[in-house]
Amino acid sequence: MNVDIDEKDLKNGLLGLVVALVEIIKDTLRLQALRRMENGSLTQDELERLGEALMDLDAAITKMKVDMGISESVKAVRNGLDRAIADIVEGIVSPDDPKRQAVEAC
Amino acid sequence: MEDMAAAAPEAGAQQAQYVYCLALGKEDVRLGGIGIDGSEVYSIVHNDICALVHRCPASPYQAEDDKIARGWVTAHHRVIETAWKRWGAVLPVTFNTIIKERERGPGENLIDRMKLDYGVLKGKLEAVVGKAEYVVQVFWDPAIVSKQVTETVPEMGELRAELNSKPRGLQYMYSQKLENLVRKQVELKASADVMDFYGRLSPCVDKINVEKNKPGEDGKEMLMNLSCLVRADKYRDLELALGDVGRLEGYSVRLAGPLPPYSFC
Repeated sequence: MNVDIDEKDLKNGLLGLVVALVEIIKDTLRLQALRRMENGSLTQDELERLGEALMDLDAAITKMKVDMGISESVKAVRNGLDRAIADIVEGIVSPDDPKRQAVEAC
Repeated sequence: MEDMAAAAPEAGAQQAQYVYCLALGKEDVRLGGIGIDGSEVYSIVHNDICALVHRCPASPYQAEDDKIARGWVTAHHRVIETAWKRWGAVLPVTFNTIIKERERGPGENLIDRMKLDYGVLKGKLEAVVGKAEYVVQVFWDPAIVSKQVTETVPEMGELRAELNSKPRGLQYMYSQKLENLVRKQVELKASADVMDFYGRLSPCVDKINVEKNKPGEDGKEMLMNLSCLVRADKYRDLELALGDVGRLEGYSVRLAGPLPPYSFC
């Protein structure tokens, strides 16, 4: 059976996924850095170097997205992940919500 | 090739009643061809409640063509609205609710079901007499609300002042800290606003169902998405309460209805 795959769509989809994951890792690093900044476990010099590195990473990711035209792909991947996590959390918080279950006839 | 776009139930198969809704009514009525695919809609009565139905083969309506499916759903709601206008109290039933007929005759199986659950059904119908469902949505503009928040928290002013004196990397970290602070304050304001608005609406409505927020439009975010069951004499109070919310800077409201009590049956 032949499957027609648009090479450009496949490339964009894969790149979008990879860059979305890189962004998520960067955001996690940033959160960790902020937490350590709040609790005073980093020196000013360490904060300065960390800030510069994160800024440069931000700029590099933004440029990559623009140059490769994958900003929308990355956004779509992240929105999809956000929705999936929201559904899982809602399932844990409200497992018996009737709106999440099939409605029975009156 | 056989047209697979729409598979309405086949004629000649076992028969059933397609149920649109239940109503607080005791007369036998025929509402004409207002049902799905122009089906004749009529009432099946037990005591002082009735079901609005059309007769069909005992298999669900299925369509691959979205336009056909939408037409069926529109017809389903049209019958419910007609019944609501006629009897004032209805319990809408999910699309594709079909009760098979038994040997005793058309409608007998449905009547048996109504007999079995009569007390509960009657109670639910009486609970919605003189009431309608309204959809209430509150939106806010995050840019306006963030600005309001930053102006009221002293720590933000201090952070901003510190920012400019720092080298590049530290400026970045401090600006991230500021963004975090703004985000937390906005979340706190959102929680406080939801409690405040809920408190304003509660006296005007009989029941509230909190629905999932949906994406906003034009840069606005949905803060609240409610289905409200409202008595006719309380509608004006609801309008006034929502008007007050809509006049707050950065906030807007949407009110849709009146609708049959889809969310309260």
